[in-house]
Amino acid sequence: MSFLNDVAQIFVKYYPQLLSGVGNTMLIALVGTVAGLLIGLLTGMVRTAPLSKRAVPRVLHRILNGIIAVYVEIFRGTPMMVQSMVIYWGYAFATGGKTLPLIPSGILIVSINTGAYMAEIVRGGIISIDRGQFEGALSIGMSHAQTMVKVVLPQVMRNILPSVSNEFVINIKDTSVLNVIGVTELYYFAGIIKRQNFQTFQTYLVVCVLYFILTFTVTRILRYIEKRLDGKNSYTIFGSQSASAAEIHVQREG
Amino acid sequence: MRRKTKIVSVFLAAVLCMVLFAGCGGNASTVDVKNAKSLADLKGAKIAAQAGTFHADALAQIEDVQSSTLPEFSDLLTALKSGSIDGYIAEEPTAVSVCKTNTELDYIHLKNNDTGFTATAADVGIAVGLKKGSELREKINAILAAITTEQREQLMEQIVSLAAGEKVEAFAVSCAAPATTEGVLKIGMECAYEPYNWTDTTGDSLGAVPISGEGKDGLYANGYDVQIAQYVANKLGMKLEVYQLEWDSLLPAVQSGTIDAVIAGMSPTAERAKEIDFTDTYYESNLVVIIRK
Repeated sequence: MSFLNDVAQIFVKYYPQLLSGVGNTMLIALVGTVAGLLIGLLTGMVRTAPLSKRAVPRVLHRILNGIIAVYVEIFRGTPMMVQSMVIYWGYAFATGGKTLPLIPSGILIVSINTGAYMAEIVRGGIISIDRGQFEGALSIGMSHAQTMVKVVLPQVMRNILPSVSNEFVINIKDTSVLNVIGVTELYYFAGIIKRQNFQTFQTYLVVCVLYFILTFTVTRILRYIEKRLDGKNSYTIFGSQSASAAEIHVQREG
Repeated sequence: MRRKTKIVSVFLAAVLCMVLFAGCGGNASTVDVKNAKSLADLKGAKIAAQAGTFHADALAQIEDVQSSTLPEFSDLLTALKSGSIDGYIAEEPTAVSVCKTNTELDYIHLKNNDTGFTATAADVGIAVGLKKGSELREKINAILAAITTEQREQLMEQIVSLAAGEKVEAFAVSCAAPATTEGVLKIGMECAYEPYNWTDTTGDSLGAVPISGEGKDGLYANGYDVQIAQYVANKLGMKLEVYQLEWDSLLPAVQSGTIDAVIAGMSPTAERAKEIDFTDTYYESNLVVIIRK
């Protein structure tokens, strides 16, 4: 089978390039997703916070909300490939030929792009928490900030985890568009290899398998974390400190 | 029973997919261009060119062919080998180089004949692209003028042999590296346009230059453009740095000053000359159509 041989040869001959591509792809996707989540948490909290009664903080809050809305709409509404070209070459023209370092600019582009999506995911997570939770926290004397940090956000984090892992997987795949500015991620090296061996199909098949291994591993790991956060399936509710008859044993399926 | 229905439904879905794929796929070529001797024999054939290049403009001038473009030059060869196109536009050195390594391929000249195809010397020549008003222009012109036409042809022959994996002892156009260099000459190219410029991962070939830039360790550039760039840098007494950029990024890179010059097999067309300055041409070639034998 010369085809299988070709595929094997690509692994043998170009594994340093493929590995370095995998490394950069994962670095950009991981840091980009975490930074994006932080941006999302910050903007989500700002946007769902109640407006102050005093005039000056209220106006400032409104302006901040406006800026966040513009940021979300622009970065969610334009392709990441176009954003990378605009940011990279825009910076070069603005500074008379200096260019941003490639990997950090890749991380920057992925972060602000993911941040725009995360802002909406976190906002959705916060408004999905039952009003009773806010009311309960306020009634025992917690401030809004305390309510957020101690009561709401822990529940939000669990609820948005599936969406966050979704974003992570999307980022692993979407870092491939950064090859337009020359970021040396996996897709970039696929191009390098293809231009040397002219085996377009074989090369991209190898890269396809590598991307799948990355995304599949990541989804499995995040699914495991979700399960851990949910706690054990069987647990006991103690009805009384002394009488064991008051214990309720809960046994959930699956 | 349940299991059977499942299997049957999966099977039916697979068949449906296949039918859809077959229906949607472009038809394989029906025109026989195996023995084509001139452009006239290519009537009705599917001919492609790299998008955004002079090749694509030239393609538009050939009559009665189904034309298409692809963004990357190396994909054209894959398309031709797969049979999805009948031929593609390239320059003669590329064709010589490609046909040397792929014996099933051949090429025919795209001549200025009565088919209405026109090309000026500026269209088929390639030149160094510089930022508007760059003072390097006069200096590089003086260096290029000293290279004779014979030397250019000889160098191209050597480069084509090099691309085919043969050994070359010394280039026809070369100049000893200066003892001390003053300043850096940053050159941009695609590193994906054999034999003008290509990438390799070993750096074993004569005159290969490491590609500069973050994360580009272990990648080397070589080709006609690289040797011209090396020659110019040596003559200027500067250190050469080669940057790999997408075709569409070459112009913004030289305009913004990220690189000092484009030496990328680029023709000084009128549209491009509005954006950047060009030196005199450092190679002139003919356009050809590469086809299957």
